[in-house]
Amino acid sequence: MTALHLEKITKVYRKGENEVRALDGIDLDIEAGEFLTVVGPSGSGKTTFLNILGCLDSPTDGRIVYDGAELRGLGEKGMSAYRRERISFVFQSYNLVPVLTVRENVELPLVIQRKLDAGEIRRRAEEMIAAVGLAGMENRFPRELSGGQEQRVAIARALVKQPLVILADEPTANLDSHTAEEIVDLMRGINAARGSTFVFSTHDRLVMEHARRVVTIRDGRVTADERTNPPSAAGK
Amino acid sequence: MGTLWKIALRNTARHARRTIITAVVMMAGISVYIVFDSMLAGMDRLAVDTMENYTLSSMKIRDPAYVQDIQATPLDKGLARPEEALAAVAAVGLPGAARIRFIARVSNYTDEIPVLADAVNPAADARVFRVAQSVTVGAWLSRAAPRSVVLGAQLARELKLSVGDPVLVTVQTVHDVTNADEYTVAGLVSTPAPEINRGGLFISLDDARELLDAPAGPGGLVTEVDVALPRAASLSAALAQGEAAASRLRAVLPAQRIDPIGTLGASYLAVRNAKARYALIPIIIVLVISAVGIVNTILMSVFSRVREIGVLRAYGMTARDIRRLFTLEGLALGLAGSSLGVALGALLNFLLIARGIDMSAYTQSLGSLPIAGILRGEWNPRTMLIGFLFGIVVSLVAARIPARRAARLEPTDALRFQ
Repeated sequence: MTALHLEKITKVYRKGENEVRALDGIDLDIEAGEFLTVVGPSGSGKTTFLNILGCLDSPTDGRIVYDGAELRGLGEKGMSAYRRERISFVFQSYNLVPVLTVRENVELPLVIQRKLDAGEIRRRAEEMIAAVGLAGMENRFPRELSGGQEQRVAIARALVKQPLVILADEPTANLDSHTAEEIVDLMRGINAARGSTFVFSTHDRLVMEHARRVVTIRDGRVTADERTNPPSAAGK
Repeated sequence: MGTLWKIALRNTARHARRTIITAVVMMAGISVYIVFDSMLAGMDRLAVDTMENYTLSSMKIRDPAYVQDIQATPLDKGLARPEEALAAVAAVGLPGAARIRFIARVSNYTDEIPVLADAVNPAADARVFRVAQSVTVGAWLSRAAPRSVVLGAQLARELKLSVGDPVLVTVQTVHDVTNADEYTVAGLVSTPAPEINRGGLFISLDDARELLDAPAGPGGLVTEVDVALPRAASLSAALAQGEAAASRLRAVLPAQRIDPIGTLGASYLAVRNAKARYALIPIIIVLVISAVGIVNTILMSVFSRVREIGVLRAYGMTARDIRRLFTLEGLALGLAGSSLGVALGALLNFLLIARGIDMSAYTQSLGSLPIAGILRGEWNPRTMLIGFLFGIVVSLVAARIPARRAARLEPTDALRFQ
């Protein structure tokens, strides 16, 4: 089933009289449950691509269809609503809210949604914290965690609202290789167990090796779209 | 809203130094406002007490034509039946005293000073006013010592007069003829009312009527009947009590003009209110400084949390939610500053009420203001509420600027921010 359908996505930035074509007619279908990596050199348009997928930015031209619904002409409120319901993010610098505990950080997306009662929010958050291997650390603050643990909390936060897609921008860039491997394994395990759709932007060879699909972007265009056969998460 | 509050409160606590500095500035502004207002209320009370006890009394009964022409102190417009007025006052259980106000010139045979003199019934006057109790040298007027006067202490000093000295008093009689007579200085008074100290001359009604060539006896010349009321718990209660007593007497004495202290002291209260407005300027400046502090504190908070704002936006928080988050931080600061300000203000006010400030040393520098004695503050819950709410409103208004700035941040720019 197609989770995301992108058609002739173009993004043009204007800097004075100059025009910068960050994305230049990208066509892509992303299936539900995919573990997809977007690669490319710096300035190739990866971040712009992820921003548009994440409804953080609008394309200058083209169509995006999310789970059968076309996003067109959404204002700031519409984009916020879409992000709130369907999209989650994992960032390179984890970006946890420093004044909230592990549990409160994980609860945050559900609190922002305002759909569930406090008891259910807490139950789901604790379940996700356990799923990322941090049971017992619910009341710690981010400053009391290691980088790897922070990223696990960020992953739990991303997954707790069961989004259509999780967008991860260089999620292992700030981690040592051992911790990075643990995090990639964790995400792959969740991907396999829950069928969550992951889209990464990365330079990390380890992430690329574990991806089942690698999309290469160069000068705003998709120059390669390869399906691979990564080692199984269970094998690690 | 609960999570927004949690984030706002914890960020306020996390940046404790910034929060404390801002809250302390607010605390200073609000507590100064509370104490200052209390002092003004205390000054009002002191001034009204002074007027009631030494110069004006709690209520005056006069002929309407006399009041109309009051600047000239017209002796031909005295009360028609003063004994009737005194009986009416006695009938409602209040002490009353007859007086004649007249312009005189006091001389030591070398120098002469014009004064506004009061002819009094020595015994009755002492039940309405406290001038008799303020004699510092010599004695108050009495039937046993006729043809004597009591002078304000400063007036006596200027004329180099002391108790027992002869003094020449010159007046225009009721027939507009100049008359003069010699009296003996019986006593000197030193009161909280500067005008009595500088220009007070008290003489018995009998001596004054003779000097003024005015009708004597029970139905003789009286320009006013002064009435004393019990001291009320607060200034507003005193004003209300005066108005109620005046209404009762107006029903009995419809032909007379009856003015309670609220009317008698109206000009003083108006001047005081005008001065109070100017005196509030420094307090407003302090609160403006605290508003700038709040803007600065929250702006620093915004700049140190740009990426956090980006994350919250990425997870679907609207620009409105972000604005609300930083407005709540302003509110938290305002609550802290206002609460501390009211608490400190209440503490200082408690000390002001319990210990008071002795104003005697400042009586000269206050000029004509009738403020002397121990100045004590007054509790005013309304001022505390205004101070508290003003702090909150200033915080909310000040927080809007950085909150709007935070809300305007694009999520993509915020997430890129280093």
